[in-house]
Amino acid sequence: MRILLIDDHPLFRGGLKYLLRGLDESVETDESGDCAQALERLGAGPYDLVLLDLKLPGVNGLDALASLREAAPGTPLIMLSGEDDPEVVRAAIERGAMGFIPKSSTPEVMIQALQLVLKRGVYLPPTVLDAVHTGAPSALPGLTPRQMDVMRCVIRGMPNKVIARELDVSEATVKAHLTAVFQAIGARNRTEAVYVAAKLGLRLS
Amino acid sequence: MSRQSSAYASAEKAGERSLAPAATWQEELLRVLLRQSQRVILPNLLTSLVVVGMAFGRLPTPLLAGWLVIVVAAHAIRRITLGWLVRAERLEFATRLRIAAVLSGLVGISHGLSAGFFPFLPSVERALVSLWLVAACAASVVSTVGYLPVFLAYIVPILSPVIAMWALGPGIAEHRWIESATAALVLMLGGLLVTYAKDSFRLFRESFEIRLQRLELNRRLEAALHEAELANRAKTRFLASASHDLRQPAHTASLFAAALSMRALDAESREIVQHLNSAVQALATQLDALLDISKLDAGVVRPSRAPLRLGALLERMQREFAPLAGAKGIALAVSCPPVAWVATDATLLERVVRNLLDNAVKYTDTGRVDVRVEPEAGGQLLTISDSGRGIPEAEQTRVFDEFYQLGNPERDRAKGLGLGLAIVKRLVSLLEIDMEMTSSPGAGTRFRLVLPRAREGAERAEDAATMRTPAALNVLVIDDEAEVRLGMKILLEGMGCRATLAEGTAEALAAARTARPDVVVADFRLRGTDNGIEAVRAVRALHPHVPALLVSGDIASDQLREAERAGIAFLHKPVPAETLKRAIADAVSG
Repeated sequence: MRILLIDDHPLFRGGLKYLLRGLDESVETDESGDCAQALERLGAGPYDLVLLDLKLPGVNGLDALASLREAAPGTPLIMLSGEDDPEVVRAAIERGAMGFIPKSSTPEVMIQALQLVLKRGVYLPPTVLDAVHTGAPSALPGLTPRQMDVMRCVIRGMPNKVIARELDVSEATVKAHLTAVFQAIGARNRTEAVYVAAKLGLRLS
Repeated sequence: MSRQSSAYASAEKAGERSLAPAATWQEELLRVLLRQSQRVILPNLLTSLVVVGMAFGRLPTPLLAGWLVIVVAAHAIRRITLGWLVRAERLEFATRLRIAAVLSGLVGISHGLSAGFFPFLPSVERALVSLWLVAACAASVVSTVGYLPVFLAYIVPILSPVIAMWALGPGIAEHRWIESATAALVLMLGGLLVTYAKDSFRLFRESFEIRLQRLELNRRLEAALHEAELANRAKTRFLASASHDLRQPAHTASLFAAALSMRALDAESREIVQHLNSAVQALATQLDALLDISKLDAGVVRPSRAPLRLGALLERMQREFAPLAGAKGIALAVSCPPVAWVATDATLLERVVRNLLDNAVKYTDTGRVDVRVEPEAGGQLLTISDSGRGIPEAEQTRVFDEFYQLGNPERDRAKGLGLGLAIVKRLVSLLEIDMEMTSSPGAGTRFRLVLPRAREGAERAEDAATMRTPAALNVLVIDDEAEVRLGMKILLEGMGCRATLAEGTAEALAAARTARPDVVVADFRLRGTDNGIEAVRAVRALHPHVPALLVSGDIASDQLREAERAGIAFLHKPVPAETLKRAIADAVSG
């Protein structure tokens, strides 16, 4: 698993690298200290995951997130941040992040969150999840395999166009699937779908 | 008095319109004189015309015309010269005021000349002209703001001929004493006007001083406000960078400690890592507390209120504090209705609860800590009580102060900074939560917080009641299709149940061994020869009489009969969410 770590503190990247390797020996990491370098690296090689610090020198973290999403729309991105303000979390998810890990988490929680992330799960801080309430799902059985595929893609933060290309279907089909998926899981939009996924401990592998 | 202040106010207005506020009383006086000199022109000219009208035919016309020209010229000269004087900053104020007095005298003389008409006028007209002249003198108390040189320069040339004419002029009244008395009365009036003028001028000086002081105060206030704003902005900037830069190394150290703890270590090293870990955690926690309180004091924390299910938050707090309480041998119990919704900021409320629980567990040596939620008028009552050491009456207000700790005279930093309750106090006031504390030494401490109920919460409570779904049921879902299992999980957790997933009989049995399910929901068709009825039977072998539901798209009639015989309710796919809820509720209650 290839992971790109983006954080302006080399020591923090170092600690994160040790921790990820400790969790999974197959993890390979690359590091970037700023957004420009990160974009360059992201363009050079395919990554399985991007871990991004919200505070980077010279750019607004959410803007950095948006440009990284645009550069590699298929690569899931997780925010790592010293902040855990629910508004910030929501803003990050809305801009295409697939999860959010507060740096202030205890080591146990940090390890659990990273483990979940390495297994392609969605992690959001529990406080944030408490405050969110999504609607009730409409009916069973849940989702068709195709709908599950669409949901995995959308939760990763892929735009509809990219999902259509990935699954080799038309954008209209993707939209139809999405409507059904959101209805089935009781979400109104992609952001809520990410919250539902985090609540349920959904894996996207 | 009121006339004087209104004359002054209008002068002030005129000053503001054309010039910067006057810095000295002399400057202000010149401006008032200018404004008044303009204002009196029209009434004086009209009156002069009436005087000429009365005297017309009794005196030579060229003489009357000459007098009219003198009056107009005097007013014009005064108006124009004062206009120049106000701006003639090169001249000393004393000089400028002397010139103003001369100008005033000029107008005074022009008016006073009319007293020369008296011998040629009948008594009524003579009285009317006197009336005008005396009234003009009285009005000049206001128009000169009582500044004596200017005031006297005006009234002396007017009143002296009037008095002289009445006292010495040719008599027309039948009784000579009336004229003498009139002269005396005018003289007395002149004296009275001088005292009024003195009062008026004192008032002018005083109000001018007050205004100067007020301007100075305003200026200083503005400067102080500006400074405070700058300081506040600097403080906010500092806090923002501090929360990032100071916490960063703590986060990093925490990461390294975590990474180290995952490696193969001997017992002693492991212990060192644990100590390292707790030191880093203590550092991070204390740093957070310090920054929290600074942020709260700086007013940069904005609560965002949203509906919140208290139960979820409290369950998490219980999980967080259970190990600590367990290690001390204290019971930690949480009791909360599943539908207790409140409207508040989840993150900030969590900090309140965490700090209160932290204290409760820290200061309780034996017994228990109870967290209870009960509905109350206007909201939900959250009570956190302990059987701990309690707080002496005398200390009960001080515990909310910063850096104040009970029973920590040696200020052992491992016990924290003593900011917990100080933060709680600020947070509850920010969140507008009513909090009260009761405590007695040896008996324990109780905090009662009234949290505002969420509007939506009430509706949810009704929903839950009509659906009759007992919350927190443990539902065992058996289905061989991962997507269906996931859908079930979403649906069940949406109802407030806990879902355990199994793909077949074997997994179901394993799950049932760990915890007894409250109800089993099985798909009829499972992988291979496995089927739902078999799975339910296997689970019931472990836990007899577990309620069960069978779900299927197609089922043969003999299998359906078999399910009925086994007491398993049957549902046709697709199952609407409502139907599933009702079926689960029925199965559990039946």
